Amino acid sequence: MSALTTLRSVQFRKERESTWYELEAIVDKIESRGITSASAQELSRLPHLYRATLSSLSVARTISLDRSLITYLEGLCARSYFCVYTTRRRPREVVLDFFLRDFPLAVHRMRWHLLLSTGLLMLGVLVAFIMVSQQPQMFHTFVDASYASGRSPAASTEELRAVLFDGSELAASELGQFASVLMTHNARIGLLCFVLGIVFGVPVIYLLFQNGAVLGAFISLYASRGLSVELFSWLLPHGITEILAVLLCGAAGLYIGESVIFPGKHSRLGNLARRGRVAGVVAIGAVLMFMVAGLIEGIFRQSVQHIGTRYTMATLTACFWLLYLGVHGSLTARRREVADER
Amino acid sequence: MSAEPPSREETPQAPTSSRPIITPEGVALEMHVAGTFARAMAFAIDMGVILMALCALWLLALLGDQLLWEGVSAIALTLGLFVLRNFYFTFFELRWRGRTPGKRLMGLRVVDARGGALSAAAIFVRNLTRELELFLPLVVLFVPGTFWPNAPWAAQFFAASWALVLLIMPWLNRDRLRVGDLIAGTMVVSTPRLYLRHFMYEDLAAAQRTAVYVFTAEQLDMYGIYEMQVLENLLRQSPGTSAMHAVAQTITQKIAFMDIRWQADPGQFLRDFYAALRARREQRLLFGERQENKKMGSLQAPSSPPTQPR
Repeated sequence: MSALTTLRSVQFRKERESTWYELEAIVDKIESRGITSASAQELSRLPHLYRATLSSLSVARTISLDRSLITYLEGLCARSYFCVYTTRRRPREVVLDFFLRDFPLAVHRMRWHLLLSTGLLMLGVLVAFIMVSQQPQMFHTFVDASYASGRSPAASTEELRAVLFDGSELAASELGQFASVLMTHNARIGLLCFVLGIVFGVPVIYLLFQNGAVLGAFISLYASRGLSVELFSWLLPHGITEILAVLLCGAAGLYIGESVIFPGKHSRLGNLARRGRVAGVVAIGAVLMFMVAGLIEGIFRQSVQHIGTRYTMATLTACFWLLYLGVHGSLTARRREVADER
Repeated sequence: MSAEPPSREETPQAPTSSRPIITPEGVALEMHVAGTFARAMAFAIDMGVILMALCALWLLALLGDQLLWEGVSAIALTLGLFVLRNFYFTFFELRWRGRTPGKRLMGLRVVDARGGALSAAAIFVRNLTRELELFLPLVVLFVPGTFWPNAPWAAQFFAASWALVLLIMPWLNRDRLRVGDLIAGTMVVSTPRLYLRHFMYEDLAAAQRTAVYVFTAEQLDMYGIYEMQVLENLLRQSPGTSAMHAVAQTITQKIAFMDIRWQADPGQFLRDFYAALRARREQRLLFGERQENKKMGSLQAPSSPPTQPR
């Protein structure tokens, strides 16, 4: 065996070790106490140390046969990679960006899916309306007895009317409770609709159709007693927001479903990941809309009986969503296109 | 030279599987996919935190009932439960860049599966689905009747088995991705704190000068880099003499090592063999020859022993 000078790998480690330890100390600090705990000097050293260590790793992979050294460097590089490249955004910025840009933009991107989900819901409404109009007993096919809670073809017109103007005797605290239960219940249904998109969107189609059918059955029932105007005054103030949220969740589900069925030039999983984020933004927005709807339903509707006021409220919400999601959304999208072209 | 005291020299946990992500500098970093057990533990810790927060909220709400009006507690609890259930994980993962208290304790972290920066949208999405893939299947498992009442049994069965598939999703793919990870394009990796271990030999040349045994190039070439690193791990763990003896026995047979003094102190033999092998492999590496594995078979014993005691 020929006589050896110090091994290259040993020499290499001795020369560079101090860089690694310095980086390690900074990363430890940032991981345990946050990036703000590092001093300005440490932060300015961080990128330099990170690149030096990364290059050490590349060299070590070729010349060193010391397994523990390579494992150590890989671990250290991974940890510092997250310190260097993960930007921390302030929660306020995230929230502002969400409302002003991300949510309207995401809705704009799935406008055709929104149209489709609206069509499915309307189909449900139409089918149930026609069937119940011809044969009132069909009402029970579409509406669950527990959900109907007495509102059925067997009920008298007076009873049906009473439901629409009920609630004035509820105390303020009970209204709050009612609203909070409605909010969380509806939001969960919406989230369900969104996630179901992953199984090819089939359950979404079913849910949209079924919800439309329930609506159609009620419209037919009340119309047959000449209570249409009163019903819509009861339904629309919160319904516009709520139904729009259902439609958005449905659209998000279909958007995801489409990505799985027709992946196009991307892989299925890659496509799912790309579209899932857009759909998720819409779903979050829809959850917030459900909360707004729950507030309107639980508090406004229960305390305001005047039909004119109820219709004004409905018109106001409709205008708001049209301006915010429709106009602002497409403007944002156009601005982005212009920016992309430059 | 070593900056670490010996007590911190734990061997890192064997990773389940790994997936490279390419940094902007063009270096592939192996990310170790977090094990199911570690993730379950992290989740349990987070649920513990949520439970404690709910208890605290409940106590506060009871106080609110006394001070404000009856019914405050019900509102607070309904909303509190909803917010905690759906936004606890989102909040911490946004705030701590992919880590919740549980993940932090277990050394886990959420990352973008393609190596980019973890976006807020991805965090939102991966936590939206928790309701469906965890709480719903649990309902199906423990109170089957309430899942989809009034549906035909075939539909109930279909829906229930589908919900269970969502629950076991992480076991159905290599990267332990749950449904939320799939939709958001994220994965959970383990980035534990590792310590740089002592040099095996600070000065390999010196170690060879004091070596008792000498090996020929032919003998050393019987073993590759893989076996050398296994031997390194063994030596670092410093096992008992019987284990050392067994390993030394295997090696001496394969390389036809004739000097039987090694039987008195197999540890010394293994250390010398490691030093010689490491020197040989790294030297050959300089000439572009990278021998990963051992050669098949074993050497024939030469007629006269080539090794001379020093």
